[in-house]
Amino acid sequence: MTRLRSAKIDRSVAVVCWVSAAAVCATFGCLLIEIIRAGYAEVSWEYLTSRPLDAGRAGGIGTVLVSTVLVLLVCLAVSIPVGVGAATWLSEFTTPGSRRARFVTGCVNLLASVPSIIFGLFGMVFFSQMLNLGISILSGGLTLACMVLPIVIQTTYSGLRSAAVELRLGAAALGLSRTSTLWYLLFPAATNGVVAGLLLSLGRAMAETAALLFTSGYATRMPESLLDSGRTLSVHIYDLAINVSGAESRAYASAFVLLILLLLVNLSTSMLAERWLRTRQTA
Amino acid sequence: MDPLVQLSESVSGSSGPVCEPGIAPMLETRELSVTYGSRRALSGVSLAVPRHQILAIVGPSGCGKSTFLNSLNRLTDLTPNCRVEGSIRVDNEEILNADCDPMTLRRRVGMVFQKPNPFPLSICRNLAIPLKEHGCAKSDMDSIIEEAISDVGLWDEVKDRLNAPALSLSGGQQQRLCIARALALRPEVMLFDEPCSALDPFSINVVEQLIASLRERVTIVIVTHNLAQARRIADQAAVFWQRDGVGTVIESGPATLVFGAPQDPEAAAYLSGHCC
Ligand SMILES: Nc1ncnc2c1ncn2[C@@H]1O[C@H](COP(=O)(O)OP(=O)(O)OP(=O)(O)O)[C@@H](O)[C@H]1O
Ligand SMILES: [Mg+2]
Repeated sequence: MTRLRSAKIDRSVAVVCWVSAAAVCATFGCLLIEIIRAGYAEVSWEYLTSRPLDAGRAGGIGTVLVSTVLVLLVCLAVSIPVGVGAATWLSEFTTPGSRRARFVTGCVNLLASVPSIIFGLFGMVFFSQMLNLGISILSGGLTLACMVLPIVIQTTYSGLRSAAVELRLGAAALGLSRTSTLWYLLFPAATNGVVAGLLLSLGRAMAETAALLFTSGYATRMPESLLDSGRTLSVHIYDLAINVSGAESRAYASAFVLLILLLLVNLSTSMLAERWLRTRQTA
Repeated sequence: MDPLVQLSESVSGSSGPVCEPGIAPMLETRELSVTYGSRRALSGVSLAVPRHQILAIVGPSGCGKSTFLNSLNRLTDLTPNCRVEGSIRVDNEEILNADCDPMTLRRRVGMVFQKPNPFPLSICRNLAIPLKEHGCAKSDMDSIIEEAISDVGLWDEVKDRLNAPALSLSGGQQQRLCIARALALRPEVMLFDEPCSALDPFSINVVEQLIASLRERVTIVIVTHNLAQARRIADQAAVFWQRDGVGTVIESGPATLVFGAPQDPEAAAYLSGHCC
């Protein structure tokens, strides 16, 4: 009769898994529907292009979008080269398991577990005050870069490590230099990992408020340089929800825009990566 | 040029015994030993291969055949803690010296692995990248690629799809592509580590004949578990064995002697298939 019993267990396990999956979808669906329902009506071209008025109760989010994009660009421009470089060093230029490698990996893991509010405080003290960058888009972007750096490093590293040993041996046996091996073989093999890391980083950066409150600030006017303060979309949503009464629908509208942005970033990044990989393989 | 080398070139092609007095072999190891960390994998290996001959290496698993092969193009450099001691001479030049550049050495000493390992790129780029790395002019590239692919008998099969991914080829075709990739660099020595083990019987035959025919152009060291194959293609042979946990050579010399009248009793038993 054990077969009957194990069949029963199989069935219950299957049911539990199905229910969990359905619960996840339902939660996500509810969230989406709620945001669309409450925010969609407010979104218009006007809303997307004008600056906030009356603390965000009126006007739009044009300047906020500009600040958001600038902060993200600063963040990526710093975190990608540094992160990919560090991951490459860990994977290719040092012996895995050596003391140096363990030390750096430990630092990265530690960095990954630091709460974002701490990055915010650090950014305020280091970038804004010590480096005298003030409350600015630059300070905010650099702070975010520190925050997402561990993600970039970890995903790039595992991408590089996932390249088969045979590939490395084969390249070495043909007398390929380390740079050529990286460029022609390892980076393409790591692309999927790097893209995943990029998306995670972008997602985290776009969602971040705590690290930006003290570094890039709240200003709603159009930033004229990277040294100007500017609020990002998440900070805007936070501000509307916490500090401004009577702006709930506005907060929802901003959240709706944020979701759409995330979706667009997701799609375009993976499409670009795929196209790049294909040209790599055939050209 | 070294007079010894000139002399050996003038007799190249003749199949004499291993170390004819006065003739410098293309590849020679003396008292070679390899250790991984504190563990010795190979000790006291002295072998020589005359120009344009095939040395077949046989022996049970784990006795250091791959280790030996990897030390010949200094692929052992890639393994942390791996130390190679003794002497390895390629065309009379010591390659264990610090001033020997491993990248250049690996162009001269090509290698083909057990599992076909084409790059996940197009067929054409598989050859083009190493060629470019070693300074091949763009104008010569296409003709060298065509020649190398033709040399392995693959040209008619792939000439219409040079831009297709190399991984879309069959296992046997992939292995021949890997051979072409190494040949394109005009090596002097080719190392084969069980090149047929992962192939189907038909491909085994094709690759084996290809390797045998390459002896006109390069000196070859091949590790194989297939004794019949070793008998068919080898000019020289060596039997590796593990003694006290350390790999060493227990029998070596011209293939006819090693296979026909082995001196070492263990080698004799192994070659006649009565052990392992
Ligand atoms: N990277 C390494 N690190 C530590 N020990 C190793 C390493 N590579 C090989 N060895 C050891 O060296 C010995 C010889 O290994 P090797 O791979 O040369 O044997 P082989 O004769 O090629 O065996 P097979 O016929 O199975 O391929 C083995 O005992 C193995 O455990
Ligand atoms: Mg082996």
